[in-house]
Amino acid sequence: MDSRGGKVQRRLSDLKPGEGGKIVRITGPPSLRRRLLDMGLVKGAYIEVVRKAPLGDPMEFLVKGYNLSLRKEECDNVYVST
Amino acid sequence: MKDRRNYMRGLGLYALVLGVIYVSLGLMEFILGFFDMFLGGAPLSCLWIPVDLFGGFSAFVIGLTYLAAVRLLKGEYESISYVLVATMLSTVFGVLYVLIFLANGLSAYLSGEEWSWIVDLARPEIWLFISSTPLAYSTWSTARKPG
Amino acid sequence: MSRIREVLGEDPEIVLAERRYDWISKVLPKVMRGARPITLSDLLDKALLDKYLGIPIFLALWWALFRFTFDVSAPFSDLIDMFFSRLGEAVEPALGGGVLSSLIADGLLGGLGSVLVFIPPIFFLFFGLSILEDSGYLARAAFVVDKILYKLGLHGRSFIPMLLGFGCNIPGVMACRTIDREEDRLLTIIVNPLMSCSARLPVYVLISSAVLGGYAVAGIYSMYIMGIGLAIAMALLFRRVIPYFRGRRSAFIMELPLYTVPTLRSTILHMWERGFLFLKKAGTVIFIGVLVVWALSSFPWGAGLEESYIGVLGRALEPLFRPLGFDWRGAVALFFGFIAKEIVVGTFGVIFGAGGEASEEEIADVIRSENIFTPLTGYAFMAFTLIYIPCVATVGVIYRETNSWKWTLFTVLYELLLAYFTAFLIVSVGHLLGFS
Repeated sequence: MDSRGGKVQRRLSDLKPGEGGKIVRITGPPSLRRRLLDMGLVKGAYIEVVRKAPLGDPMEFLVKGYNLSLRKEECDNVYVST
Repeated sequence: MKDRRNYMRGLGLYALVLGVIYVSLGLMEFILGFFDMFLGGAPLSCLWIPVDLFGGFSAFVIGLTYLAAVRLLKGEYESISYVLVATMLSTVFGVLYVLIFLANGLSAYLSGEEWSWIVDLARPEIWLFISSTPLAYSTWSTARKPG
Repeated sequence: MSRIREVLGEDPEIVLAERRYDWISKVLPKVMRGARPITLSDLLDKALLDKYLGIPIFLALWWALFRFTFDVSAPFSDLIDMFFSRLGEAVEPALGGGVLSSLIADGLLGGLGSVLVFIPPIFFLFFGLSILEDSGYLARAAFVVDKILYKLGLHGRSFIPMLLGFGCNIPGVMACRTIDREEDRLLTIIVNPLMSCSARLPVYVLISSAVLGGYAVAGIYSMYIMGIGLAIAMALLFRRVIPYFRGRRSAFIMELPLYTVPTLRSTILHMWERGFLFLKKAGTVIFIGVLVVWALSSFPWGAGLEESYIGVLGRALEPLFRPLGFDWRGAVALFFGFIAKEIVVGTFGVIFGAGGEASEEEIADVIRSENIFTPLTGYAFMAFTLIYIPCVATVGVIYRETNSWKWTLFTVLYELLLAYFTAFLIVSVGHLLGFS
């Protein structure tokens, strides 16, 4: 948890299926950030957890009207405000 | 609205019956297959229960998928997804066993060997597939129109 | 470049992407309205990606694909087999029985027949795979199994190359280009040959139908499982033991497309493209390989099989394979399998066809009647064939993709050792359990 800018920020990987939030910031190496951006994960975009894979990882998200799957390791770099 | 709820319940009951049949069939096929493969012979032979380890597993999985639709009985619309997938799996395996039946027939015709067609046709999954088609039709047409 | 970064305080590409989406998000609400309704795809995903049912359904679908590939295609293989047997029988007397007639009947027709028999299962496999891919299920399969792959030292993106490896290891190895980190890519390449390619299928079909009886299909299925298991075990082992493979790994970012009903046209097109790749390979390398085998087994001309060059070679290799229960014929077949694994079958065909044409059925009969394999050693032979060495063409591609003789040689060596060890283990454990 991190409370920059007054609002509560959570890691994307901590959300449960059905929960969602606005993307606040994305950390990690530039190559990863660029690829996430290419898939539509930009600041201010709304992203929602659809489900986890049968073994708990990766996770499936609904973002910009399509379904995207990311590993928890990648979601750790994405912070959302709920 | 009440009609729709009852309709969903009907579908759920249909799925449940199929689920119970598939699960018990799959278990028996699996157990017989297991005995036959690892313990030197199936303990009983019955025309309508194939000795098939992996086939039994598959039938068992289909059955579980039907059973997972149990919440349709409470009128929960989204549980229809289990029926959609289960009927699809029923179709995949039903068609598969029909194709195997035809292929074995063709093989026998080519080689001139005798063909125990009744064994190939007594594959319960074929008949379970046929009895699942009305359910498949109603669930798939319900799911295709939104709302 | 660095100046731009200074001014923006960010990578320029990232800023560009953000601006682009910024604009889109301003325009979108003006042109689109309403929440996303529950689609058929959402409903199907709920069950197909279910927490408990997801993996069992995945396994059941693979089993259906295998039955479809092997059982349904069988009569078409019979048809081709019959055609070449009859042709050989018809041609040989007409040519008079010398070297030339043997070359044409046993070498050319026999070789061609033993390759073409496997066209039906390969096309059926690709037909089924294309349906799974075009419908959108294949991406889900990667989603369902990624954690296992990841835990076991591979990457979610390794899934596609490994899957292609089931068809042929060459496109499998080449597809590893999509993995961005060097270590992940190299690891996926060197375990890829353990994925049981379609060329190994003929060997399984032959041996299992000869000695495994009612368990033929289950035996074949277990080969695929064994290949996957060993690939994982090796990946895990290399990841731990070889310093080069330790370290961070690349990301898994993948879209799950909407399900669609695959069209017959595109499915057949996909099937044809991939099947044709096999045909092309079969038409050249394998065919030449079978001719070489014919020559080695027919010369010195007039000598019995055991005195021929092939027999001498087999005898020399026999002591090495004794502990596994293979005799000189098995050793020879494996030796030639290096050219391409389906030649193992062709070799048996030529060895047993001495003086006549050996169809697949006849080969299986000889294996049974001459007791070349027991069910146990036959199974060990299948495992050995699965593992022992990638074919010449795959070795070439591995070299091209890794650009290193060191890793290429490493792949060949570890697979040889692993094959020997595994086959030995199967035979030993089998003996302990009372099989012969």
